[in-house]
Amino acid sequence: MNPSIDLTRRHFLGQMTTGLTGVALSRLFTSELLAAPMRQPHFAPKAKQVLQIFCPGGASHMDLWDHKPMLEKFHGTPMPGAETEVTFQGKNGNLMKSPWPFAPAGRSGKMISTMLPHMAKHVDDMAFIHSMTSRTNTHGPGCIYMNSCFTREGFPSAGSWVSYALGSANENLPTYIAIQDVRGEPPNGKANWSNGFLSAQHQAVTMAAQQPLRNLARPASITDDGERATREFLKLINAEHAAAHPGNDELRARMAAYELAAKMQLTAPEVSDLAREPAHVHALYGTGDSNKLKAAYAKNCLLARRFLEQGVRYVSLYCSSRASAVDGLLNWDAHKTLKADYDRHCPIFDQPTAALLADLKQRGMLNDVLVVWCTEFGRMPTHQEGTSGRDHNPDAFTTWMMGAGVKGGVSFGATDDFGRRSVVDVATVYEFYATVLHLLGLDHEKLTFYHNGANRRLTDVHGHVLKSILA
Amino acid sequence: MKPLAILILASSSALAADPADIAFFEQKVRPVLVEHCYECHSDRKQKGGLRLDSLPGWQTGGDSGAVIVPGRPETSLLVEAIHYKSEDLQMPPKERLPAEAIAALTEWVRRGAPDPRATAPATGGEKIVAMTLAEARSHWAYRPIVAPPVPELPGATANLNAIDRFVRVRLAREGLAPNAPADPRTLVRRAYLTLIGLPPSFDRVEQFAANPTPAALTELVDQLLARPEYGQRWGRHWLDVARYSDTTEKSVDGERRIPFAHTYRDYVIESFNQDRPFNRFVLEQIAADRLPPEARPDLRALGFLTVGRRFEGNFEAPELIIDDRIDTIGRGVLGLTLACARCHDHKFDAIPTADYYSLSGILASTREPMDLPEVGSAPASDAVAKYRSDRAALLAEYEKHVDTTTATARRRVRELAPEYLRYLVEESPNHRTVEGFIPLDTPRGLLVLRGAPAWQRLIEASLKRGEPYFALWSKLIVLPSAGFAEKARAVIAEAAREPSQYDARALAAFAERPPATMLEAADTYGAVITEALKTPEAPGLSAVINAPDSPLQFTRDAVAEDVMRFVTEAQIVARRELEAARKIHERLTKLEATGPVDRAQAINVSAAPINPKILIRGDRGKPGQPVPRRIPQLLASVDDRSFTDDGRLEFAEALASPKNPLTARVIVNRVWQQHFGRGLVNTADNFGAMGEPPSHPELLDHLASWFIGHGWSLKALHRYILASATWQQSSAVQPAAMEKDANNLLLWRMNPRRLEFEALRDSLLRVAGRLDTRLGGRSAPLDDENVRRAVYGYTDRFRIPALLRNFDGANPDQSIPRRSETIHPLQALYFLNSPFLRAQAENVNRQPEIAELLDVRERVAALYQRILVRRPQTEEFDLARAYLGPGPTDAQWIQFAQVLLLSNEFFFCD
Repeated sequence: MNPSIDLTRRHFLGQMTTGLTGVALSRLFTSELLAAPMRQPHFAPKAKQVLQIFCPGGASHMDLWDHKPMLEKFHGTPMPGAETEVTFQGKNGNLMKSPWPFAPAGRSGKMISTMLPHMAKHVDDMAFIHSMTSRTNTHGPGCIYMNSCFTREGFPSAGSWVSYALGSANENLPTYIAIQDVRGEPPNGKANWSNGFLSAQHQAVTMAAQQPLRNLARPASITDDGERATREFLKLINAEHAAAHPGNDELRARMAAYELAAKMQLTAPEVSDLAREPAHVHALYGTGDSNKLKAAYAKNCLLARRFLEQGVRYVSLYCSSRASAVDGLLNWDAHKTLKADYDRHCPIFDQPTAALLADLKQRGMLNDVLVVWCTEFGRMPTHQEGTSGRDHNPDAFTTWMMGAGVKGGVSFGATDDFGRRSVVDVATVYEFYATVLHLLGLDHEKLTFYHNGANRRLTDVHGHVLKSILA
Repeated sequence: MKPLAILILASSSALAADPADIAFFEQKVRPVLVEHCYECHSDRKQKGGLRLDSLPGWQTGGDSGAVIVPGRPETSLLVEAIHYKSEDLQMPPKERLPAEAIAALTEWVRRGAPDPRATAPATGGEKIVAMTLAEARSHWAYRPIVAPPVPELPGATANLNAIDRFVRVRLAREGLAPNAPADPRTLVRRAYLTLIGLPPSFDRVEQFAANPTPAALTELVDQLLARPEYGQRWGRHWLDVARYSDTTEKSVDGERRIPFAHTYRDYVIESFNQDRPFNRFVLEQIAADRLPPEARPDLRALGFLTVGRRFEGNFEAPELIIDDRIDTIGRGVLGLTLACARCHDHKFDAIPTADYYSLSGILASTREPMDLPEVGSAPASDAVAKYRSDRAALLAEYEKHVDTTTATARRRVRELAPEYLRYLVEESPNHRTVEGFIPLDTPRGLLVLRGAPAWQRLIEASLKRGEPYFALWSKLIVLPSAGFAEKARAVIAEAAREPSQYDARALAAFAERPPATMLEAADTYGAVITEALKTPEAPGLSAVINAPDSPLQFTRDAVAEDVMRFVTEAQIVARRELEAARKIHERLTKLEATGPVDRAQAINVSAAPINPKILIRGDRGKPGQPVPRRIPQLLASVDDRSFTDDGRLEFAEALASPKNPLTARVIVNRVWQQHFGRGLVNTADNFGAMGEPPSHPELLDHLASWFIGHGWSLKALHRYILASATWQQSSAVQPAAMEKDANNLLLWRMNPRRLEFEALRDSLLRVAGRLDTRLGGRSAPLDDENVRRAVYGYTDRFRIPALLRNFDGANPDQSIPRRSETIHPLQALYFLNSPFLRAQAENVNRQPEIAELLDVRERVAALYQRILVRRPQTEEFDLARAYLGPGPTDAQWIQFAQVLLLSNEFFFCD
């Protein structure tokens, strides 16, 4: 670039800092405008941030978390009383044990699938909810039910509610980030992180290690100085305009948004820059794994930690995508070939997720971060007729929580002997989110938004806090 | 519904209660109620609107109606709830009651719910009570529209119209004064941005500023209203209300395009441009297909109903589609949250759930034909000819599929007679052997859900005619399962004494093999039927089964509707036939969505109107009272008939009637909202009890009656509003007024507004010299190369473009009363760094009037004029020079233009 221009620009910047006639710029740019204004919870919170890990496709409780010895015992025999049960894809065959043995883990001796050797190290910190139920056995509605407590689109996701309730804790980054899997969007896509009827600032910003924020990079032809000069110039003409138009807060808000964008432009690439992590951390997560899908998910796990570290309020991390033409290929929807499918998915999920949890723990971040693991429903204890897979089962599935405010090494609720139905302390998404909100210092019955004639809640008109899993 | 429930209930009460029953209540029931129910259902709280702390409490029932039917535990919601039978209704919610408590409450209901608690304790908490119909008649929005007298305004000048008088009398009363008129340049820009969503040229502004007379302003407004860009701008406002989208929300890979959504969009834009009277506009959108041909209805209008969501993959899709339409009409046209009454009586407005289902009966009596009516004229070309023949082939394939499916369905329901009879046995209260869902798969194949009811109807009709064929069946199925074998033998023996009353083959079969269970009896009957059907032409049983009006004679129409429904419940046809139909339909959609011919996304009336029933809590599995097809009672003064036909035309006429208190009020308010940034009623889609009352009620009524009096002409309404001093005043801030009325409810100034997404993008392209304002045609994604007006952008419900999401585009999932207005750093990043913005900044500089200018001062001036439609001030020249330096490069000019494009001045309208 022409040096004389550079000089001029410096001159321009110099003028800028010596002040501009008539406008007190400093007053205009106090940090009063945040991405979403910070608010007070209803009572003292145990958790300040949420990391949600979502495994779409209906991850099988009996093959991951919910040990069913009777299933092994009665493997290959008909399920009592339900020989002809027809579920989502049709008729079911006999009971089918998990293809992998379970083994006790941790001090608590929690039985967990041997397919999850890394996750097994965390059981003493986890609170399992084994008695979850869903209202639907279809993936799309199921995913948004898990995320918004409604099976229809149009309602805010839990992350949006939290953004609305608590706002941002870091003005340089979005309040709510959804990290998509490299394999694609979860079933029902955007509805999973939709702001519904809340204002657009509460939607998740989607990004991933493979897909950075849009429009973050300035055009290559523009230099640092050039950019700064341009921004100052813009600030000046907007300031003049604002001075001539007192009483319009939006003008200032939009000016502040440019300032924020500039900060984000600096911060976001820095936070997303995984190269800043030392090699041993990369190794811990498995970002260099020869399994490309695992490496990609591991990078997203690392990205999630870096965002949480910067105070991002709610991070949703997806492990797998929506269905492909082949059930169970791209997500946990193992209709036909459970063993082959989970032989593929478990290794992608296990090490990186466990590394993320270990990393959060050793950094002390679990004092603030509540981790929740979800899927949209469970699977049948039987095999689907003519296959070695399992059909959908909305009557039973497992979720877990750990971290801030959660009691470790406990299991809440239970399914029957085979895992067919939740029978003890039956729970729903309403309990799940009543508890999440409680940990964030929010009363789920008081967090409301007036819309279309009703005071809407995340938990609709249901739910109670699962007190027994609170630390 | 409620009075009826009370009538039934009044027959059993404590009045004639047996002392033993009362003792039972006191010992077994009251303690359970107190311990487990009062917490939420007493004077303290009334969850679900229900009280269980007194006889009148439970007699009144809750939101779902009666909860106890004395003597009938099997139909009492309370009993269902405590048994945790349904996932949706489990009481107490936290934990199931102990078994003995469940037994006690069930027994209590069985005994007729004797209850000595005749009076209710006073309610401590507040219970919100919905408006009654009588109260509704005096609610401001439901009163007939009567033009109020225009108030006297002392010292008023001739330039003030009636609008100003209403506004200023109110201002004066509050001790406030209106602003002075805006300067002429501001007015031109305001008129352009409001009416056509595009900025004026510098020359046009200067032309007006040279002679800013009222006549010149009138001329300017007339010019703008006559431009096609007016319809593009205002049509978009209506498309927000109509939750317009080019696709369904279908979330799996596959065809989700609504192939002719765009013809609805074009109809809307044309309607605004032609100033179609708004009442006619409403009428056509609800019932164009029901208008007589001589009325020359425009079928494209029906897209208002059909561009909504489809809820694919959702069990309740048929109900939800209707719900979406009721909601859109309710909030969109009437300003009523009708859809709230789907699951319970409206909590605040006088909209009983019966009204909701009355309306749903009207809207559900429709079909969406595969063969959509052609509109416009397609040129004769090879492509068109090929399209027509491909299409005809697909439609024929589809019709053939329906034929085959009809035949298969009729054959299968007969072949599986034994299985359907077993199903009926399983369904009967006496003989159930499975809990919950009765399996549909049998060793001989899958049953369909419509099959068993069809057999049931066949049996009942035959019995009613006094025929002998199912006489034994009817006697056997009512026997209890305990001791069935013995009792059945007695029945059969008795029947044998009167053989003329019974079917001979059935008698013989049972005599030979007396049934041990009712399921065995079903097998025997099934065998008899199968045998009889081997000679289909024979008189007797097979003639009854094969009669033309037999319920097993599924009509082709019913099958045709069924295969279009694409849900797996309540079906006549098997899943694979649905799949096959879906495949053909998808191929057709693909062809239509890319074809050279335009069609209306129309509906027509179904073969027979739907007789609606209330669905308890909106649950399709729990039909309640039948209701007539009728318009909500709130509008009874417009039309209170029960319709014998589908009633949709009558409904549309009631919406479009000058007697309708809502339609005109709601639309004038929407227009006002667009002109002032805020409606006289701030809740544009809710004029009910929970809506905000109008800031200027008389003005609202004045405008509504003026609008009706001027032929429901929106252009006339614009002229009227824009001619007011209220609209023409400046947006400057008066500190004193700001203190008193910061939100400007009283209209002491014009509200400054920001451009919404479409106006912003269009304006950027306009000043860049790139905007393509052609009318009509298919939508295309708003990628960086697309330079058409944004109203023609492709809206994909499943994947709403980030751009639209970040800029508060209208969410097409539901009717949008008003755009949200977010200011977000992501927007700023887009302005700063997106290739689109950069390209427009380059394009501005390529304009001949600018590119040729070499002098810095001249070029700065030209860019200001082009982008901000004004000359720069001296300090702005200085600032520009400081920024640009002595010999600015092209890149610097681009940056400079971009700054002006993303400045607040460009983005806001004063």
